[in-house]
Amino acid sequence: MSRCLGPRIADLADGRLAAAEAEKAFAHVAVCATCHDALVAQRAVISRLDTVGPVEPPTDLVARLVGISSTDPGPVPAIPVQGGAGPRPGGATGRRPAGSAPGPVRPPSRGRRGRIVLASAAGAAALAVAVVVGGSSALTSAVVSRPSVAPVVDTLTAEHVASADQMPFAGPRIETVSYVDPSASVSPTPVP
Amino acid sequence: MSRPAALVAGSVAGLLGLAVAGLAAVGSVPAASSGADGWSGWTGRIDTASVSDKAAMTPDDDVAVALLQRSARAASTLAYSGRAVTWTRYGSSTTSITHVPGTGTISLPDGAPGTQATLAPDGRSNSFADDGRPLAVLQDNFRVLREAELDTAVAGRPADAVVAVDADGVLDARYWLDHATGLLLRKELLDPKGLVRSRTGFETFSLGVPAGTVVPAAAPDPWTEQLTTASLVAARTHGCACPDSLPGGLALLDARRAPAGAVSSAPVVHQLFSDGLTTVSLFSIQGALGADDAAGLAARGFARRQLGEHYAWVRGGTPQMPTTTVVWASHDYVLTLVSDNAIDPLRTAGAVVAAFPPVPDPPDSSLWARVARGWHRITGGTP
Repeated sequence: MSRCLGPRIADLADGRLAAAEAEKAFAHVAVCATCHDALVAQRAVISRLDTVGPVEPPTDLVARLVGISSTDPGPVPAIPVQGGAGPRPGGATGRRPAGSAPGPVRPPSRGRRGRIVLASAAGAAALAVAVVVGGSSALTSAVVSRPSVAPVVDTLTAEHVASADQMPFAGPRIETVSYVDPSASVSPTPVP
Repeated sequence: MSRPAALVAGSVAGLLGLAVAGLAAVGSVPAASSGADGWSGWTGRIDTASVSDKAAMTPDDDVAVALLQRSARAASTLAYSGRAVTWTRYGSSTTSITHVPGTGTISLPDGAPGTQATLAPDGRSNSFADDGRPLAVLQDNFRVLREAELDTAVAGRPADAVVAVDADGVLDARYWLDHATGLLLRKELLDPKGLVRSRTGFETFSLGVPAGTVVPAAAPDPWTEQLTTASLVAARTHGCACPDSLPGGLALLDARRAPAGAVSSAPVVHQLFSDGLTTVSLFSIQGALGADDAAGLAARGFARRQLGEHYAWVRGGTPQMPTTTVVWASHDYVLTLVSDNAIDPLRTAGAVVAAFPPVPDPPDSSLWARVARGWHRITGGTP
C-alpha cells in the first residue's frame, strides 16, 4: 500500500492537488482507513463552514458605528507639554476640566495622531475583514478535484442492464445500451 | 491635508470600512440557502407515501403467486435455449440465448456481424434479494392474478397467463409461463391505456443446451463487493445517500461496489431498485461535476433539463430511446440514475432527483454581492 497522505489530505479535500496526484491519492484513500477517515473529517469541516448560517446584525450596530468617532480610544502615554512634564489636564483625553483655564498651546497631541492612525487602521482592517469574509465562501467551497464522471456513464448504463436482466421475471430481453443519436430515425416494427 | 481634515477622513474611512465589513458579514450567506433540503438526519429511507395502497387491493391470486414462484426457481435451475425478440413501438432486436445452469446465460445478438457471444454469469446479483424477494416486491405494488383466458402457445409451447394489476385496477403487465416448466416465455408491459409498450419473448425455444455450445469467458466483473445493510449504513455516515428505497415503491434488491480504479478512480456504489416491473439503478460516486464533466456529458448525448423543480443532465427518456440516464451532483456525490422500462422514466427520475436535490448554484461570493445582501438584510429588503 502506498504511503499515507498526511498533510496532503487537506490539499486533496480542497482540490489543490494536480489531477494525476489526486487520482493516486483517491486510490490510496480507497484502501486506507486512516486516510479515508481523515478525508471524511476534512470534508466535514468544509461542509460545516459551508453551512454556517447567516450572521444577523446586532440591533445596535448603527449606533455603535456612529459612536466610534466619539469613543475614547483609550489611554495613551503622557507626553511632555510646554510648562511641565506631568500629566495633562483632563487626563489622557486632553479634555480640560470644566471651568479650568486654557492651558498653554500644546503641540499636536499623540492622542489625535493616535485617533487618525487608529481610525485609518480600523478602516483598513475592516476592509481586510470584509475581503476575507467575502472570500471565505470561495475558500470553503473550493471545487474538489474528483474523478470525472462523464466517461463512465455508458459503463454504468451497461451495468444496470446486466443487473436488471438477472432479476427474475425480467424476461429474455436484450437492451441496446450504447448511445444512439435520438435524431436518427428508427422505423417502427409491426407487433409480432 | 490639515490635521482635522485628516482626522475626519480617517474616521470616515474607519466607519466606512466597518460598515462594509458588517454588511459583508451579514450578507455572507444568502438567505435562500436555508439548508432545508431534507438532507439532515438522512437515514436512507424515502417517504413511502407514494407506494401503492396494498390494503386497498383485493388479495393476490394464490395460483398466480405459485406459478410465479415456480418460474423464479426454474429460471436459475433449468437449461434452455432459443431466439428471443425484444419489441417496442420504435424498434426490435433478436438475440440467441442459451442458459447453462450454474454457469450463466450466453447471448449473441442477431444482425451484428462480428459480434461475439457474451456470458452473464449466474448468481451474480441479489445481495438484497433471494428468489422470493422480487416477487414480494411485485406483490407489494401490484396484484397478481391468474388469467386463464389469456393462455396461449408461445414458441410452440403451452403457456399459463398471469397478469399484474395496480391499485386502481389498471393492467400493467402480462406474463406467459411455460406450462411444463414454469419458465417465463413472454412478458408484456402495458401503458395506462392498455396498449403494449414493450414485449419480450421467445420465438423459438427448447429445453437443454445445444450440442457444441461454447461458453465464452465471462468479462471481468468490476462490481466485486456486495454490500450489506451494515455497509450501506456505514457508507451513509460518510456522506453517501445510499437509500434503501426510492419514491414510487422502488425497493432495494441489490447493492454492490466497484473499487477505486475498476470503473472510476473513486469507488462506485451501485444499487438496483424495483417495484416488480420497473428496474432502476442508482450509482453514487464521491465527487463533483465540473466543467469537463459537463462537456463530456454533452458529447455523449446528455442535455441539461428540468426535472420537476431541479435541473440535471438527462439522456433518453423518449419513446425512441427509453433507456434513461440522469446525472446530477448532490452533497459531495455525483449520482447517476438509469431506468430502462419505466412507464414515465422522466417522472421517475424527477422524483428521485427531488429526493436527493442537486447542489444549488454557488452564491455570488464577491465582496459587493455580500455587501448588497447585507444591506438588504439590514434594511429589510429582499436579499
